[in-house]
Amino acid sequence: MVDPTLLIGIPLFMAFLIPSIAIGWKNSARYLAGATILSNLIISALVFIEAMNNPIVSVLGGWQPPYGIVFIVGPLGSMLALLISSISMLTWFYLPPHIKEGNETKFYMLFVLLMAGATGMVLTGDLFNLFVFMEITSIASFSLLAYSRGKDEKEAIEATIKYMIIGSISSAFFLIGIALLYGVTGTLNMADLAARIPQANHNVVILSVVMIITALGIEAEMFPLNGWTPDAYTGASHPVSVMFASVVVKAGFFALIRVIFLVYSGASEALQILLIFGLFTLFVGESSALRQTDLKRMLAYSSIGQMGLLLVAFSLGNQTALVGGLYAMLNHAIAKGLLFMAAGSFILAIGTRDIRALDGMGKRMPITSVLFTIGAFSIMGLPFFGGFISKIVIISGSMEAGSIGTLIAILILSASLIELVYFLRVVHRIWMKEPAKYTNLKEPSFTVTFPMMILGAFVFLMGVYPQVFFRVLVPAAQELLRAMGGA
Amino acid sequence: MIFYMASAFLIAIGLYALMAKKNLIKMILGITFLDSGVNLLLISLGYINGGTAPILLNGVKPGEVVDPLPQALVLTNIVIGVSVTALALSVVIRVYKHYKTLNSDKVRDMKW
Amino acid sequence: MIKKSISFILIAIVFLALFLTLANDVPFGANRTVVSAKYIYDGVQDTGAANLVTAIVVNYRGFDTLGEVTVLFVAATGIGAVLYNMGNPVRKKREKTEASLIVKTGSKVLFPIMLIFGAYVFIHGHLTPGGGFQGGAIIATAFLFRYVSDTRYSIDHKKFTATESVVGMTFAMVGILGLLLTGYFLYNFLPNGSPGELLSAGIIPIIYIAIGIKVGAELTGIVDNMMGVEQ
Repeated sequence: MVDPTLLIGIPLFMAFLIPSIAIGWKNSARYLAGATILSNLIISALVFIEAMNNPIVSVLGGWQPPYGIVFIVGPLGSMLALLISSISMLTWFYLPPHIKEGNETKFYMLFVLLMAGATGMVLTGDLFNLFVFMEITSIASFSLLAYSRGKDEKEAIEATIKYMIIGSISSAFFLIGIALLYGVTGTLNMADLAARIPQANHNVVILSVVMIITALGIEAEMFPLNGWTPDAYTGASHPVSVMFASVVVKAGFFALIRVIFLVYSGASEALQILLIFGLFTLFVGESSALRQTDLKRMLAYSSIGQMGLLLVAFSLGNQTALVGGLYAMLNHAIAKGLLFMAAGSFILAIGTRDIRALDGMGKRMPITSVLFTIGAFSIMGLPFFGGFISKIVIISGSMEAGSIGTLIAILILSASLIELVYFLRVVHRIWMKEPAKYTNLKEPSFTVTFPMMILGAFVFLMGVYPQVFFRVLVPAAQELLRAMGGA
Repeated sequence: MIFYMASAFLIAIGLYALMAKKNLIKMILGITFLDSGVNLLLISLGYINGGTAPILLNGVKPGEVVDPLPQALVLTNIVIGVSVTALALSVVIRVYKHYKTLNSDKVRDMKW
Repeated sequence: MIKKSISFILIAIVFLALFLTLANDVPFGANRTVVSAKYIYDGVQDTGAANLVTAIVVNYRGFDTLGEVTVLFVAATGIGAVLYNMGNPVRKKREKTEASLIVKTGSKVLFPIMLIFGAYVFIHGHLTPGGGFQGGAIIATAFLFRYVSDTRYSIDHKKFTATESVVGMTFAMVGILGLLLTGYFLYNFLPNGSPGELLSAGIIPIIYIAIGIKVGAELTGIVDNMMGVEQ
């Protein structure tokens, strides 16, 4: 049996090791990082297989909870850890053309640490430990965001300072929430908190929930706390945008859901608040995407909209909606990652982020265009792709929730219509228009395109063989529901 | 009581500096205030009336000490705060190099 | 104006909510220890450290400390990355004015004293207040003195990198060793000794010494990075 703590221990060890070796052997950082990510991929796959049958509880330091810190790895946590390692691995393949300037060694160190931080966030069972890993993830994100050189440097720096300021408010509020919870329960372990909160003072619990929702909402891009998101996704270099959209925000979202479901028995209004904010996020995100002429900014707003959809799905509270939400989370991580990668290849080739310059890309860079289209179709929710299944399940879950559920279903469908419009606009340009000026565009090398192909194939599989995924996601949804129903 | 007031006050000042001030350095100072306020809050939650420092040497009995756990949390948080502040300052150095100003209103090239 | 008033109102709400909730529902000075009771009563026996905060930081919640060391490492790396190529690699004269004679002589006298004091703080982390982070900060301040007083002072970056790396790996290694030997990551696998002695508390002195050196090196490295930026 493999211990999930290795998923953190090995990357940390390797991240400490890389700078020394890089002194002597200049280009080693890339290969050492690749080896680390590969090891995480293998270990998380093994952990996933094990955790599907019985949840792994890994006690750190030998002190039993609630006195020590514990990793609780069930189907959901291990699936997310596997997702994080896989996306990291695929992004590693995609990286080389995109980090030409700047210190390569440090980039790979930060990249490995980002992966470790996000993995820690989804595995831990202790509230303060969650905070520490959230900080690791945030600070690694800030550093990676500030990385760009050359003509994108100015935007990257502006995005970083905005992100850092909002990120600091998020950390402070989270800690205030933790402090309040400790003040009335005396413990930091999540399972223990779930047991003690019902008897704790209600006012304090409500204030701490508000603080924590604000804090984690900033990380999970909930409206109106997502002002940092469009700038951050646009200003980041392309592989970093992939990590943001597929890994960081998913870990933040998972943290939000975990904590809310934890205190659910103490503050049941929390889910309704999430539902309302989720709907706002969905609409504001999708409508803003409509007006964009910058490709990455459009994708960023689309991500915000999708996170809103996830929030709605998870706050509906019944098993169908939860399964749909998990399906959508998986689909979005993969399809959005694919979209950002493809967009990155486009932008690197033509030198601008303007959508209007994408005319006729289908003829100039056919492979990347096909992959981009696959990603777009999946997010739109067209049949044969993962997005379709996820939307169907979410809508049926929403119908189960009573009359208000039907209204929500209608709202989701309208938002999907908006998505269709702005994505189809881009796809139309790529395939139907004639290429403007640029000719002789080379497709990127195979190592860069192959991760996109894997993501595209996966998204297609999700659309055509949903039963395989349901086998994993239904127990994961049940795990969440059990947590929600009380300890 | 006064500790609660002080920590809430520090948090309020920090938030005000972050939200209402334009100078980037003042905003970073706001982050520092925010962190100090939160740390003070955490430590004051650990105080037990009549307790002393949690070091059990020289005859100090376990029943007489204050809660050591919030102190451990604050220790961690101070280091995290230092790291964030240092990183923020270095980013501001880069901002200055590009925009030649520390006024956050001018650092708004990215459009809506 | 509008922005200031809105922020003012929001902040007033946060302040009042926080203060009123705390004042009414979280009594100051009350004994809140649930989990901490075990730390207080069994701490010395379980870990061998007399300083209970150290026992928690390094032993009971040692994983958080590993995370914290990582945060500092990420920040130091990030600063190195952000400030890359912004200064002259060969640091010559940075300041336009030299420091005064008092500062120069004073720092030469204080430097070794501060180093010893910092080392004392982190070596005795399990017996006296303080520990790795505090000691590391003192050491970094000692180096900061040298930087301030001597404009030509500079430490080779390779030394920082090597120190940070080796020490960080030590911490991670101790954790993984614990995993291999006992099945628990970061388990205290050395004997506890008798409390109050310098050589007690299992892995705590080792980890704290490692942290002290690492924090000192990292903070100094950050200072060095910032000092090297051209005006």
